Amino acid sequence: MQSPSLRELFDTAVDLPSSARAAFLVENCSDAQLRAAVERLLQADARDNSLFSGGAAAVAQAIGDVDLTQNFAAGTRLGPFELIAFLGEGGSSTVFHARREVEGVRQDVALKILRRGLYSPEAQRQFRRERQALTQLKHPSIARLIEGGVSAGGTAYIALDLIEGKPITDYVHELKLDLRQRLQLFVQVCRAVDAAHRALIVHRDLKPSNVLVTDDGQVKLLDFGIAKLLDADEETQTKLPAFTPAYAAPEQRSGAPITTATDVYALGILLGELITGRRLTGNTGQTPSSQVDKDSGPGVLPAPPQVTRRALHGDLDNIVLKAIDAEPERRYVSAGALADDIDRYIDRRPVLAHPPSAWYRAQKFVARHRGGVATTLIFLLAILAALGIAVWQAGVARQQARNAQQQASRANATKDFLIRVFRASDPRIAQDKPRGQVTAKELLDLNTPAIERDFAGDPETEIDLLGIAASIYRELDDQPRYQGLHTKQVELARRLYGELHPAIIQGLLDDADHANNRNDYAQALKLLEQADPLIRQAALDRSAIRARWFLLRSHVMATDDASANASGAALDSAVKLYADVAPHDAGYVSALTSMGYRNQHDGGGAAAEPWFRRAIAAAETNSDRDDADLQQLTYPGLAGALEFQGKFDEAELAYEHSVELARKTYGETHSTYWVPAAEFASLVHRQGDRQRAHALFDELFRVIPQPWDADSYDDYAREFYAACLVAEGRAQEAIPLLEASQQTYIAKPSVEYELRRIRLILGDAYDQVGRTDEARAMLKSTLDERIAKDPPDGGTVRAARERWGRFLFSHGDAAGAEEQFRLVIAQEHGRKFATFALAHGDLAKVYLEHGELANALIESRSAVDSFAQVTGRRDVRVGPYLWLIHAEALHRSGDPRAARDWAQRAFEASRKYDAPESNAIARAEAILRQMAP
Amino acid sequence: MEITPANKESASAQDMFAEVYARLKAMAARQLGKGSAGATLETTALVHELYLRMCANRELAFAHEAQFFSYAARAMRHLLADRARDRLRQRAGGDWIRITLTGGNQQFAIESAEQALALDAALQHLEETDARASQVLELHYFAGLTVEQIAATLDLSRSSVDRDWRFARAFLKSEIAS
Repeated sequence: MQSPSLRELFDTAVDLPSSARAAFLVENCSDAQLRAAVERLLQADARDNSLFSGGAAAVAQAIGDVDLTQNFAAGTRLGPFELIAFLGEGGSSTVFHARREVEGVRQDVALKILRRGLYSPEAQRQFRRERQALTQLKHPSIARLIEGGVSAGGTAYIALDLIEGKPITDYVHELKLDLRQRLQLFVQVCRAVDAAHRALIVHRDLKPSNVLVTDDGQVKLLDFGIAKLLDADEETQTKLPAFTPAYAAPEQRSGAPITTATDVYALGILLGELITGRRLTGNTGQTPSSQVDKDSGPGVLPAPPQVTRRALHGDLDNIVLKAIDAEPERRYVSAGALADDIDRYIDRRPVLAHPPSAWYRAQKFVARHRGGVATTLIFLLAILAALGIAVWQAGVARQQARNAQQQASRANATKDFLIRVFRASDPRIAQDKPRGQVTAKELLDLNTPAIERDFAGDPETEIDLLGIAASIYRELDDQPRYQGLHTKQVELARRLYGELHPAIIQGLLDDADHANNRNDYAQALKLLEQADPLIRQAALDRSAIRARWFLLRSHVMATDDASANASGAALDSAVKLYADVAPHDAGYVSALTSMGYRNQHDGGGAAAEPWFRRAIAAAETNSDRDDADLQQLTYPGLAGALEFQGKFDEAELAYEHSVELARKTYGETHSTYWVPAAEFASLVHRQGDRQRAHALFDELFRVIPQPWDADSYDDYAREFYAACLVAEGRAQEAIPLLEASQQTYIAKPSVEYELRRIRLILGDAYDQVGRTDEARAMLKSTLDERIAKDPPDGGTVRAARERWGRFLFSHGDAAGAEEQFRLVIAQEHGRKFATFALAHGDLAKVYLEHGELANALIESRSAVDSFAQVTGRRDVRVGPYLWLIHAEALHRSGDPRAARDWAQRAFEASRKYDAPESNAIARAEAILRQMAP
Repeated sequence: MEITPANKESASAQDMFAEVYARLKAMAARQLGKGSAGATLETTALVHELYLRMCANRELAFAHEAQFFSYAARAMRHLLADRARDRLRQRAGGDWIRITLTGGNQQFAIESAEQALALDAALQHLEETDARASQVLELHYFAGLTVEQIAATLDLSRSSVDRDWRFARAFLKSEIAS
């Protein structure tokens, strides 16, 4: 019989009366050592239990706060520094004037000593990392961090420039600076903060005593990022967090993540103090101008109280309130943006902080161009002139018209001329005009009804003008008016000239185009079939009209897999015909762009790129280019082709270009601008630059009207934004947005592709927040739908499959997961796409789970290598995910040093790429912690 | 530290621990930030608040409650040990800090810190000797679960938990005494 264990002996003995225990042990335990151990346990059991009363909380209480700087002595040394005098004490550190000799030169510094020690290797590493970042922060307006270190005993210290200066508030009071001077000084502060933000360093504790101005008027910010440094050891922090309550943003007080928006808040409070003479108490809804301190001492206010109040009322009120909004997302996107707005205020340009009413913008416009408001008038005159010329041209053309083809070109010429007036990409038209072209449209609204009345005796001109007015309304997105006029025009032409008039054929093609855009493919095809014999009979087979017919046909056919070949043939014909007879027609650009997309699909980015480039070249030689296609299709297409080839920087440029073009042509408030803008922002986000991406999205959402309506354009923007949130670990916030977009797509006909796209993201988001059942249903059905509808060897199916496998794995079905990963990898064929890299990484996790370390290492290495050379669309965030897996594989295979390096790299990358609250960061940090030697 | 998966479903055990640890850390920091000078770690309240947030909101798919509470208890144990080490390091003094320990409170604090670290070390031994007893102790001592709650989460009888608890207690006391 096996001898009883310590536990068994104890359990039995402890139930016996104490007198019987010795005998029991002698009888049942021959091992003297074990017996002694049991006896010790029994004795311990009999002793009092005060050790455990009160639980861990009582012990934590007893250990209490720890403050390492309670006692100090001047003259003592710390590292190379000698303490000279006590300067001050902050929440988590004590500051001394200190001195050191470097090669015979005396250097005076401000030496900060942390109250609390950094004892764990991770905390010390963190401190060194932060210090490293801060040492690299060099800006004329930021006090340098000279050195920092942790002594052998664990005392952390930081040496900073010793600045002789005054707090900015004292400075402006003493010099009695006026409002403009104060604002200019404050802009200096913002620019410095912005520079630090660009280096990914947040101050966290901006307040007048940290914002000094030297005698020569130079701003010097102290303690940049020091608060973070002092917080390095957060989990055992026993002091108040390192910030100053009066300047602390709401998220700081509630312990929510600190971002650059936190500094923007503190800057807003500081600005309020500089211009009202009083420290504002957060955003109470009261305007700063109403809080001007009328009893303040001399120099505190920039001007007498009444004058100050009036000066602040309006823009400055709005600027401060925007900066100190309780919601970080509603503040300025950066300190730089705040500075820009103040610069705009100083220059009397419209500020962002103002609610964008048309009247407000007009006011600013007039103020800026005193005496030069003529621009708008010129614009109106241009329209009148254009209408006049169109009428005149119509008359001339009528006389010259010998055949239908000439008539067609005349109609197009007059029409296009006027439409151009409504576009702004033509440099001859004022770029500076107020957005909306409200007056122009009003003019048109007034004149359109007169067309029928005034030209009743001149039906040919009437047809032309109705066509012109209809096209303008289409450009302005006024569908009802467009349809009304368009129908009238076609009716009139049919009555006068029968079916063969080019206006009627163009009308049919317009209708087909319109039906196609509404995804009513059957109707579009029917209209095209109707137009086909008419084009032949009108002898227009070698004209731009036939080319357009081919192009439309290829678009309609492309929506159905069965007719893909017919679509390709039609597209080939369209390109060829345009090149022969109408190389300057806007349709040619469209056709070339479509070629790009077809090749993108068939042959990848390298095959597509030349077609997009040809399209752009064609557009640029075209005097009458239609920029809409360029912005919406050509440049984004080129960007996609470049991204596919791994030319990420060039792709970014292409997107940026399309955004610029859309902004110039349509203005920010037009929905055509929103898609490229959203595409661009998400590419920037995929590239890992989340701050810039968020700034771009913020900018975009400021111009998209709220609430979201059913327009698919804003849903793209919303969907892309939400996808970025999910990617950076903010699934919780993204879910409502994604669900809303999903509803919008469901309500629309024929957007299944978008629906499948968004559902994968939504499933991922559900999984991230632990809504497992919903995640399972969503991810599985998305995979099934994609298998049913998308090309079986295409990227969309693989992406859904890999994600489904990951879901299975993380919910306990390793075998099912492995099957999915292997199906993905089976399609790899030497290609280096992100999904393949992911699948290898996932497979490594499976092997790790089974303890097959050698295989795990092979897979994780293959994942990491493959991602390093990745082509095709990819999110940089895949990198840290794979590196952590590789780190774990290395760790378990007995290579802790390499494992730590990879984990460290992943941790740093995630901190850069992801939201501070992201799971990815916490996971990387925890793994790093576990791997600490 | 090594994470031993509690069961087969815990493929992402590491992730979960990371999550619990990070959240607890943040909550502890926040609680201390809110409080006055006498702020302390209300361990039980923290663990339960976190439990409500994470499980009630279905943020994390825990295989079962035991997994959550054992991670939470483990995380709390780390927090306490860190705090204790800090206190002791202060006594050791840095390059220039001269601490004079006066008053019963200081002394008591040091002793408590030493005790907390001794407990931590003893717990490691207990884990090697009797893993379940050490788990029971962790759940009770660090996560503040009652005997009934422990019995329910670990699916044990009350008397088994009582026995584990008694053994663990005796084991630790004897370890610390020696």
